[in-house]
Amino acid sequence: MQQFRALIIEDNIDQIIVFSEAVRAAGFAVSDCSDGDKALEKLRAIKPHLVVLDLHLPGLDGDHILQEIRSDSSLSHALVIVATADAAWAEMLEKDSYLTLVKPISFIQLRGMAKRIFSHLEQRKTAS
Amino acid sequence: MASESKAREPFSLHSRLNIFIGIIMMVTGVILILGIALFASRSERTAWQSRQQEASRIAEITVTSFLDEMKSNLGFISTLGDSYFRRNPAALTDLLEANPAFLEVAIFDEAGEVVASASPDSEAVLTNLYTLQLSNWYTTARLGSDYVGDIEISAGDEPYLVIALPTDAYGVIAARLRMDFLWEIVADIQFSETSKTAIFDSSGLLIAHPNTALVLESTSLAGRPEYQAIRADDDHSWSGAYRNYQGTPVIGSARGIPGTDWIILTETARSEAYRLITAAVLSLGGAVGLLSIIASASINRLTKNIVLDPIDDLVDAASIFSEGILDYRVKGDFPLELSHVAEAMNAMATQIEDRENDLRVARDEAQRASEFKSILLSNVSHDLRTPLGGILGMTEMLQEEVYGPIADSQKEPLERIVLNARRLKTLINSMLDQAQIEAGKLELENKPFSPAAVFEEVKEVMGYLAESKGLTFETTVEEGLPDLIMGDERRVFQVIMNLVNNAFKFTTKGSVWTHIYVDRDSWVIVVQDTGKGIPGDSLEAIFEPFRQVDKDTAHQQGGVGLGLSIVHQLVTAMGGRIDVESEVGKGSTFRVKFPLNRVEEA
Repeated sequence: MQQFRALIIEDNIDQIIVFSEAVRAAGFAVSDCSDGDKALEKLRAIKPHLVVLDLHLPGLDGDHILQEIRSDSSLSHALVIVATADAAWAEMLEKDSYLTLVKPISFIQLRGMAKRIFSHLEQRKTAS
Repeated sequence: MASESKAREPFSLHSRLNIFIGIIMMVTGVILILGIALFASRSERTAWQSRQQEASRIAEITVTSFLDEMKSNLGFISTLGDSYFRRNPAALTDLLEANPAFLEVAIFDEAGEVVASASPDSEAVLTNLYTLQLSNWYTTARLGSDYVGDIEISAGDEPYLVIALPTDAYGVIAARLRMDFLWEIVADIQFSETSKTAIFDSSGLLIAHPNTALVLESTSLAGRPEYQAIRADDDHSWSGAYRNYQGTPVIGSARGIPGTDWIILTETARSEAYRLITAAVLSLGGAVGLLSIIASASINRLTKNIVLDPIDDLVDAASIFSEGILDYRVKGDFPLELSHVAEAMNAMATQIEDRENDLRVARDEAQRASEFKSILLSNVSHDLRTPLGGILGMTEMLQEEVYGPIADSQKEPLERIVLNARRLKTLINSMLDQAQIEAGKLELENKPFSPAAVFEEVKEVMGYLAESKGLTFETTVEEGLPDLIMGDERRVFQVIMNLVNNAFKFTTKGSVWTHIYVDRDSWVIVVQDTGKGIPGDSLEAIFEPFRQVDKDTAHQQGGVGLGLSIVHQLVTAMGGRIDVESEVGKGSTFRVKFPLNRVEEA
């Protein structure tokens, strides 16, 4: 059983495929969600270690989801990678997120980052 | 010069008109008064002269007739005959009493003997037989001529003059005439307030004058200029203006009295003679002055109403226009000429208003177009990113054999897909940058960063490009560059990347060399290539958006010509400057100079 969970919140099916594969390749157990309104429910059910978050979403947008994650103590430990086509918006959310990436996002790059995060999480777990 | 002209207020139209009208009125008035005065004085003088001549003629007639009357009285007495008086010695005394003008009358016969004599109120003078033959009056009358003598003044007696006539009996009748009578006659010859009549003899000795004291003092006019002038005239008929012996300015007229060597002179004070003229001139002057003032005031008022007030209205309108209130219109009653000006001003305002509206519309349109372009660019580039992410991600996944092994022959096309996707990404980023810059939304950071690290990153990213094109890529970081400086790392990276990318784009063989160093208060990035170079006449244009020196190259390289424009705008926004040297066929050198903002030590 995989020990770390990741949630991809993204409405574009191609992006879901690319992001999921990159994160899965790094070793995470991946789920996805393409609707902002359902994202919070799913976040609370899964309690992911890593969230890849798009900002433009149907329903509740990524901005609010990020605020929700930060304010919910059961979720606040999650590392959030903001992935958006809007660089200016991404910049504004820099301090609340672990990483901001401006689309188009390279599969190789994201996989590399996810791997680094995975080993970081492993180290943290071993230490505790 | 400017201050001088400023110091001197321009003369107002109003004061100019006032002065002009004033001068005209004054000149007209002076000419009018002078003309009238000249005419009046001339006609007055002529009138006075003739009046005086008339007066002196009347005086002459009066005196002459008085003397004639005296003579005829004497003649009448003599016609009574010597024998009558010898018979009636008292008869002469009776006759004398009836004739109070005579002081003494004496009748002499042919031999010079006294026939009769009478002098009731005084001592006998004429009958002195010792002096008789020596007397002028006696000898003159004895020789058959009438004699009128000069005034005689003796102590204890009244002034008198002697008249002597020859008698029918070849004798002489003589009388002493009281001067009082003549004087009264002369004093009565008064034809105006200040007129005086005087009689003097040919030697200048006064015979009669209203002021009898002068006569009694034996005053002589011999030294007076009027006397000289009168004497110079043959018949002593003379008129002139002079100052008399009292110093009073007078006009005078003289004539001789026939049968005597007497001259009669009438004088009138010039003040009286010219009184009318003076009064006329004074009242005329006053009238003209008053008229001038009234005329000036009415012309002044008229020009104010007709010209100055409308001009003021026009000036007000002009200043309202210049304040930008263009819907104002000049209204009012203007004279024809000024109404043209008002119409022209209104037309001008309308035109300016229309033009301003046109400009406003054009500006708004341009603004909308620009905003639309920015939004379009931003949206397009945004919407391009998502599918591009799919292409790039999927292709990379294929390359990474996520979907199973790939054949060697498939590797190159996959590589090309990725390269093109990356190029597209760069283009989209450039367009978005350009859109942001144009929309004025470029925000710069000011944080410490390592320029050397940025350089290293560029080298890492661009190394593969150099390799793939078979070019050398050298980077040199000189000593003295601080580890950390203040600035916007991402933008600096973008500038260097763009320049290097550009250098590779136009270089087919040789090398690209980048060089970074500190020059006093600046830090400098140099990007040098051995590419095709830029012709001199295109050097200025290369920093403009969507400009490329060579359309074919652009096509080949797939650029849109935004790279250098963005570099230029970013550099300028960060307070730096960029310049370029280039030689066609040899290569180009871009030099970017940023102000060196050191990190302040805490």
